[in-house]
Amino acid sequence: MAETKGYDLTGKGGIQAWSSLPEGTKLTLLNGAVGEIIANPHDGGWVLIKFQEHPHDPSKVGQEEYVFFNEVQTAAG
Amino acid sequence: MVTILRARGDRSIRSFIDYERGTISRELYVHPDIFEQEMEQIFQRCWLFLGHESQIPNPGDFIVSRMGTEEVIVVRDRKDKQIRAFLNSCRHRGMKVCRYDQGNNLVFTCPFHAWTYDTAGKLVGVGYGNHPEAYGDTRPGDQWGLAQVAQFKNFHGSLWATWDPKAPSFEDYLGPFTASLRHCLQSSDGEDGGLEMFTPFQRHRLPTNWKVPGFTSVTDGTHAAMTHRSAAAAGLHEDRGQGKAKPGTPFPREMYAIGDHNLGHGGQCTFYNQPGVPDYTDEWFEPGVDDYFRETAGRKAQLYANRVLAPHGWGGGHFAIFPCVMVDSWRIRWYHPHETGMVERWTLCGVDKNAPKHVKNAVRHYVQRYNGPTGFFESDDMENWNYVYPASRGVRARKLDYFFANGLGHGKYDDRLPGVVVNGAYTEEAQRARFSRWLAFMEAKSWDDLYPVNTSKNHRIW
Amino acid sequence: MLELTTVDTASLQRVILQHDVEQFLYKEARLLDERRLEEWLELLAEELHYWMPMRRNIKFGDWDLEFTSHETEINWFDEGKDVLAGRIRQINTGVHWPEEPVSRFEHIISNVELVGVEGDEISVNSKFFCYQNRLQDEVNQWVGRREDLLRRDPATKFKLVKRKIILAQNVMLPKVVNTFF
Ligand code: FES
Ligand SMILES: [Fe+2]
Repeated sequence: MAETKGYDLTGKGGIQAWSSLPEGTKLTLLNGAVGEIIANPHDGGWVLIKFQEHPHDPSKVGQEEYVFFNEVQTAAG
Repeated sequence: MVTILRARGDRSIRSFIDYERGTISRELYVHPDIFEQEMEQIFQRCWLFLGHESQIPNPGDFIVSRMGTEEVIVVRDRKDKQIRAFLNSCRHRGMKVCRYDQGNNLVFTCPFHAWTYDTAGKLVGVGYGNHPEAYGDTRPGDQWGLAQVAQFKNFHGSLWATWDPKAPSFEDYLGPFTASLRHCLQSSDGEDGGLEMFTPFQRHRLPTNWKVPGFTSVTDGTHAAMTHRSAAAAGLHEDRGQGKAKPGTPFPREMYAIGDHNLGHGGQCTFYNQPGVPDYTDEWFEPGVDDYFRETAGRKAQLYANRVLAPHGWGGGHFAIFPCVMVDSWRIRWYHPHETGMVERWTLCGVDKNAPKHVKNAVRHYVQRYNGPTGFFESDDMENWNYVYPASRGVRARKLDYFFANGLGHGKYDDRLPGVVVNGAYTEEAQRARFSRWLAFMEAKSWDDLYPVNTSKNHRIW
Repeated sequence: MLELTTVDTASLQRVILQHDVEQFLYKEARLLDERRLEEWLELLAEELHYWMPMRRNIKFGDWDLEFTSHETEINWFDEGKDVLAGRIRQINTGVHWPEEPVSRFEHIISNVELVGVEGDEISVNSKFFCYQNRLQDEVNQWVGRREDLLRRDPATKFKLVKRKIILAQNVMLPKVVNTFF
């Protein structure tokens, strides 16, 4: 299994890291939900993810949603 | 009675046009109140030209176009591959959502508060949308997608839209000119939708009222001799074929200036009085180009063996679609008003999508040197269209009328193009027809008063 | 401190070339401003490619989209000496309206930078500011830079072989472009 790589989304390099997050990157959101990036519009704000876990709303698992960068706690892929 | 111009005395719109003398008050071209009213009554209602599908072939491709004074995003959706058009203004606080001329997007992200729209215009995210101390149950729903045009039409590859849900269908709007537009969008071998457009839009500003170039310089038969006096010296147009053109077998045809006083369209016109296609005439400098067009003309002749050509395009001349789109088979030129004394001119030039590279190059070089602010031919038009404005708007100058009577009373209806008035090629029939329709639009309360055309109510045929 | 006596021949040649190229570019500008358009034409190589692309507003990183292609797209200028000669014939008719009466043009050339020398051919970059004043109060201006290829020439010192004109505009704001850059 490949090593997972953590991305530092904060500080001076945060915007570049965010804007180039590849598809397949796993995001953990501040609310505890987890999802995988399925598209990155490279707009500095958003990525499209598919939920894999959702602590408050299990019906969201498998759903796609755009996620704003300040909702994200960690990114690893 | 529709009145305006309090400061310059109350007058009905109708009083600015003198049907008997054949004159139009200059106020119509220089008064800001009239301009404002035109933007509401004409540009919010009419079918307007947006561009061509060949500019956005792939899902997610977009261009930014205009409708009158405003920008619209024309985008091919990633999911259903359909083309749609949206006002380029964020629904939150109106920021310009897209500041790029062209590109390929997943979403359109507003740089202000990050409201974000997908390629179908749907609002798919707002910044802080999930934040516990933000929107909550006030989070905007589906009705906050980008403002979409009311009606959209892809007509043989050309893209059109109107903001008015009550506007008639695009074909009804075109009326007897539907066949002409279709012909103009065919490739030289007669294949429907066979053109592609050279990218991008050619765009430039012209300090004048939009109606000077866009509305009443349509089929301005008497202007060319003097306006374009210098063009022959350039040798970049008339001498394009270096005198190699040999007249083919004469093909019976009649040429006119025409005006559709019901719908406002008009322009040049060529009636071909028998089926078939005139012989191809050599005209290109570049080697091999005539060979290509001779061959496609041959194929078109077979296609038209039993059909009469439409009266515009491919040698038949140009015509204008109300309010200000001038169409020919090699270029579409149209005008976006900015303010009373400023207009932006756009041009798209077409070529057979299946033509070989040397043909595309020859056509491209020709249209580049011919059109717009760097065009040796049209630059002369720009100067005249420009200085009409300052010389017409003075307090004294604007009290005068413009002469529009050339050929007045000599036009005739013709069965070959029902409802359209046919007149001498150097008359101002097309311009008068535009004002017949202009007046109806300026007086109408809605499309109910405009279509079907109601001559007993607000529509007066000039 | 630099001792003038120690300057080597190669450096000196480079300074002379820089000087000669600058003089050539300044002369070009002066001929245009003095309305000696046919003399300007003589400075152009027969196979000249004179190119001013349009420039798009594009997303950061979409650099390939910024300039229009002279192979497939619409450009402001994309032509050879024959077309430029035609434009000059047209201006010189005295009935080419956007240039009648003639304008007052001033071309200011600066930032002349030698980019490379290969045999007889010299690549040079420069910047221009072009001011047009005509009739009473019409003013138009164009600012940009140029990427030129010059070739040494016995008669005119150099001939212009290629010119890419990078204009700092998107929508063309002047109604007509009736000069050369
Ligand atoms: S104006 Fe667009 S998000 Fe606020
Ligand atoms: Fe003209």
